[in-house]
Amino acid sequence: MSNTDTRANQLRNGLATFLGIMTAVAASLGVAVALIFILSKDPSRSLYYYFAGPFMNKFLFFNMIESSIPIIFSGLGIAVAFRSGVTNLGGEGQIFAGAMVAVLLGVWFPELPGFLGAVVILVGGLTVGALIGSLSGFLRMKWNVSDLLTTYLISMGLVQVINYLILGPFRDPSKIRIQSLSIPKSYMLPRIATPSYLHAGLYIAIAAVLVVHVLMKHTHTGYHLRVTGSNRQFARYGGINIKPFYVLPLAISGGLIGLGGAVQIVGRFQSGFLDLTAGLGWAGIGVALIARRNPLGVLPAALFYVYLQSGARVAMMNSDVTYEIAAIVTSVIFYLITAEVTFAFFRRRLVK
Amino acid sequence: MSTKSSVLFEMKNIHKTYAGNHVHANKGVNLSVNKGEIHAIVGENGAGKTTLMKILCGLEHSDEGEIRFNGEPVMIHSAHDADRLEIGMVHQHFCLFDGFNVADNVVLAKEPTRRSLFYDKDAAVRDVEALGAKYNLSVDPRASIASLSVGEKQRVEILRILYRGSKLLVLDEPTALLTEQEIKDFFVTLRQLITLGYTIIIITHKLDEVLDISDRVTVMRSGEVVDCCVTSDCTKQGIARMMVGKEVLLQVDKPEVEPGKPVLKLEKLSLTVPGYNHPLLNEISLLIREGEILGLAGVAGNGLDDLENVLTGMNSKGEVSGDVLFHGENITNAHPSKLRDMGMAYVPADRLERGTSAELHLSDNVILVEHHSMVRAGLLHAKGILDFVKQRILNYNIRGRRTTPVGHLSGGNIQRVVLSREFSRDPKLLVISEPTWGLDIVSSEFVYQKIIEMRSHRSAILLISANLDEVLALSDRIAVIYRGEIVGMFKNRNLDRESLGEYMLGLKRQSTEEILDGAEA
Amino acid sequence: MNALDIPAITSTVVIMTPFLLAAIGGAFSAISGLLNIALEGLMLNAAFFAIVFTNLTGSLFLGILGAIVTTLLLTALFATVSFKFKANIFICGLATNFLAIALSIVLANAFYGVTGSIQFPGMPRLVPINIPILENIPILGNILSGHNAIVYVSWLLLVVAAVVINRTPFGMRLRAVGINEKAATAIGINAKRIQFTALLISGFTCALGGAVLSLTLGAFVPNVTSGRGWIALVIVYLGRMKPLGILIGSVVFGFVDYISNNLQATSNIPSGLLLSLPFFATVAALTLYSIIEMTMSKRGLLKK
Repeated sequence: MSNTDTRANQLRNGLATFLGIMTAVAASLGVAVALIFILSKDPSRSLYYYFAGPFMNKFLFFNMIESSIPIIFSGLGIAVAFRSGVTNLGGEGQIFAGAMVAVLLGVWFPELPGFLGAVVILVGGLTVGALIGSLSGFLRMKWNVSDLLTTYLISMGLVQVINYLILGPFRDPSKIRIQSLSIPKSYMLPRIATPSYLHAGLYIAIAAVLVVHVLMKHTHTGYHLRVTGSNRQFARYGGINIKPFYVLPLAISGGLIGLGGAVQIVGRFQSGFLDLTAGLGWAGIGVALIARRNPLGVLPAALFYVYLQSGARVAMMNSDVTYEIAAIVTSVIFYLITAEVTFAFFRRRLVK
Repeated sequence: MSTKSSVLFEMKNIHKTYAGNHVHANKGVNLSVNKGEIHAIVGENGAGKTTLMKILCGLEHSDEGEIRFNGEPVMIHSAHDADRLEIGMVHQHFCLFDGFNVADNVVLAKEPTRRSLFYDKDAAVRDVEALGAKYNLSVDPRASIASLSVGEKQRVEILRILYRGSKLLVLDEPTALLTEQEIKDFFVTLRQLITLGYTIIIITHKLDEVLDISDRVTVMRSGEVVDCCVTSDCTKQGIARMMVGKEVLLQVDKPEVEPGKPVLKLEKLSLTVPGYNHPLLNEISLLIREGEILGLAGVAGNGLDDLENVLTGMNSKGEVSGDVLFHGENITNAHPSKLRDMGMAYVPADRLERGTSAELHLSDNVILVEHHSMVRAGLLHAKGILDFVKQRILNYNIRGRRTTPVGHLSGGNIQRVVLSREFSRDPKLLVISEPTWGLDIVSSEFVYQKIIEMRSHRSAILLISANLDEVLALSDRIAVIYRGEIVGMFKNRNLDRESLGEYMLGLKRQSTEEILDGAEA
Repeated sequence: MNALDIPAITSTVVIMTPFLLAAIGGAFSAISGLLNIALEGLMLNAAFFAIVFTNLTGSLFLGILGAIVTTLLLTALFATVSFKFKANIFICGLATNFLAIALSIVLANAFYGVTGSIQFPGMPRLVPINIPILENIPILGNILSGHNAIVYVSWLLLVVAAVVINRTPFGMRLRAVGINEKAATAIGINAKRIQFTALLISGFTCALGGAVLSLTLGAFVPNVTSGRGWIALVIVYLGRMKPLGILIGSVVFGFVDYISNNLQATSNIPSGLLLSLPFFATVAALTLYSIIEMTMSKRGLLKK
């Protein structure tokens, strides 16, 4: 019965975890380099744009930051779900629904003062995401229907429905591109680093990270979420009524992701279009895992994630590689980020 | 007896540390077993017996050490390797598969085939029938596993290793769940197997059985071999002393406490679950007073855990009838939150899955019950929690930090975490189940001392335990449960293990009047 | 409109085939105790490579073979990472789904310089094969005859799966591992190897399922699987991992898919809404199933 948990060892444990994450990251970047050498006719040029692209000028840099905003929301939502012991594979549908409701509210109530309009839209996105999440939570609570499957299936169904809304009843006929009607310009969040697209949604995202951190770490409810998430039997034993803790975490998770969708509309796009989600919901899972389900970790994890994507985007514009190279790279991260081997290697060497 | 016979295998300098909890389970163990003997390995829970045997059977890997089989060094990496060396193990928790019948279970992993492609069910049934007849181990090969008694299940397990051609049989606590008669039959079988040339290792902590059945005995204590001797040269006291390392196993100083008002009262409490042909709990009536420890003893599988679950609001199956009164209020089927509000504390048998959350920090584990009162301005009061947890770590001598995930602690420290939480609120009623299971002596004594302290603070205490010594050492009164019924109710004066054991095994029972008298005493 | 007319039967039989194939493989994984959420990606991968190799070789057979080989490789990668590197199998399954999508796009760009659909004029397609005598029987002939080769193979595989699961040593061990992995290991079954094999079987059947999707279409369309792998996963559970249950589930969801396709052509209901029907129907079926199961187990009627 030895006690090995000294402070130094705890630090080493943390370092081992960090190095493990870095290994997964390095391996994925290694795959990126290898792919570029195989696929590109001018690998050095492609590599340069892939890795340095996002830092070449302020425009590209701030656009990269901008693209992290929805991923911060989805990453946060997934992190809360994983921490609380539920699974949310419905990020795509929740983002899309949040965005669509944002459009609808903007179209239906065009006369509000600008600030109020934005608030109504954001609250609307949050609410609809929360409702979608709660539905899966309710099915799980009431009849033990797998939340893993229902979040995904409901989301896929919703994507089809919203596609229909954009193509049909809410399509803007005056535009050549297929897109929905637009919300009033006065509702749009201010740009904060013109000429890039970066908008004040970033502040909302950062605020959301802080709020979720405080919620999970420092409130009564957050404590209950963590306790039930780690061990339901233990929670019930301690006198916690565990029944709501399928619904609540999925409501928070879906709400955050839906809010992310609404922010996309009031911050960036002004109208909805097909494929608006473009994998943002799935990206949230990767980000939450890189962040080790820690809300504060979501911020750097999301930035890293979009760095990989933005690099690919710049490389696509300036050389001959496809953007989907980034998707291969991120799937490598997915493969390795939970691999015990990655972490055990460092733990064995560092922790005594 | 067979001291001169040739050595079958030797294990030399075996070391094993579990990565998960840093328990050093084997510390340079040496073991030598002769052909054709019954070799007992004895030791307390956690002495490292099972780990050693799992290493022999390829289910765990030693960090260091060597195994020689018939003089040849061998590497045993998997159960498959052990199988090749004709080693077979019957585990304490049976490896039987519901959904397969007896014959399927016996032949699994070495199935007879037709045209070397299809499983030959008929051949399996025939083989198992023949094997059962040969070794006097009759079980219906076509019966489903669920319909078997514990004794029959064990026969299936033994048939399996015999079917596979094992010549060395390793049996881990084989008698733990058997009735007296089943044990007798079982020993007859073992002796018969020895005459047929088999070698048997039996892991146990029941000394009478060791003396009865074994040729030699190896005694282990906290990961080391203390001694190995010929059984006929040993005495029970001698082995016990080596196992425990001290003269006296349990000496708990209990101050006089005058029992006060009734706290918990059970009236004809029953639990029926669909699919079982008898009630799991059958009209149990009990009374516990302030400052009193009522020990509930019984063999595992007779309703101890069901009663634990029903009383603490953790029962999730079947239908409960009868009344549970806590300070006069009916709390049958109440949620744990209500019970906690009323002043019940609970130390569960399953401290890893129920009593703690392995993933959460020590601090989060300690504040589970208390955190409601630690909210300031809507937030958890960080300073208050810090002080509270520091104090608990100090008072309960927990070797861990506030931010250590509880899963990283040793068993004894995990139980201290549980006690530090449950004992901290001056509980009116305390339900404690198997409090020292798997703990070393130092931790066990600490647990006993704390329980006695709670008794002095006038808590009413229900101690549920399959460990008879523990029940005898701590309790003021003792109830014995058999097949979900109370079969005996005693004041703890001049009681001895043997007679209580007869009640636990269902060989004796008191009259209903005696039980009811005892319940109210 | 009569939903149960002759074309309905024929179409349902064809439409259900990818469900059936993916579910057969999914059942092997599920019986061994693994939730294989990579069915979708494995099918997509096969759909892509079936077109690539058929175009390359000019032979449907070699095209299907190529799809099988590449999909088995992807499955092996998935299984190796989760077993050898000890990564969370569920996250690895997601990774496999992403990788399949990304690979198809990156490789399409690298091979053909296109993004989006891939189609080659003159490339062979799967064609219906009529079975003499059987084809002349009314209704039964429509069910049993006039389908492409992979449809027949899928039926054969269902029977083979039933035999393997219930009548072979491998099937016994597969079930034993699923019931209790630890106990199975303790009695000398190599549980990880059994599970690895089960995943490879999933890969094999998904390869056929993906190939039938793209080769009947004669083209690879991004997202051609459109959630079929996930629905197959649900079919495995609703069918209680039993071959007959899987067959029934595949027929039901094949029929739902047929209706949603058919209504798009014949009714005024917008097609976008109809596309969502299979997903919501699946949620409804899952929920109904869970309600029934819960009520039965409460009454103690459920055999364990």
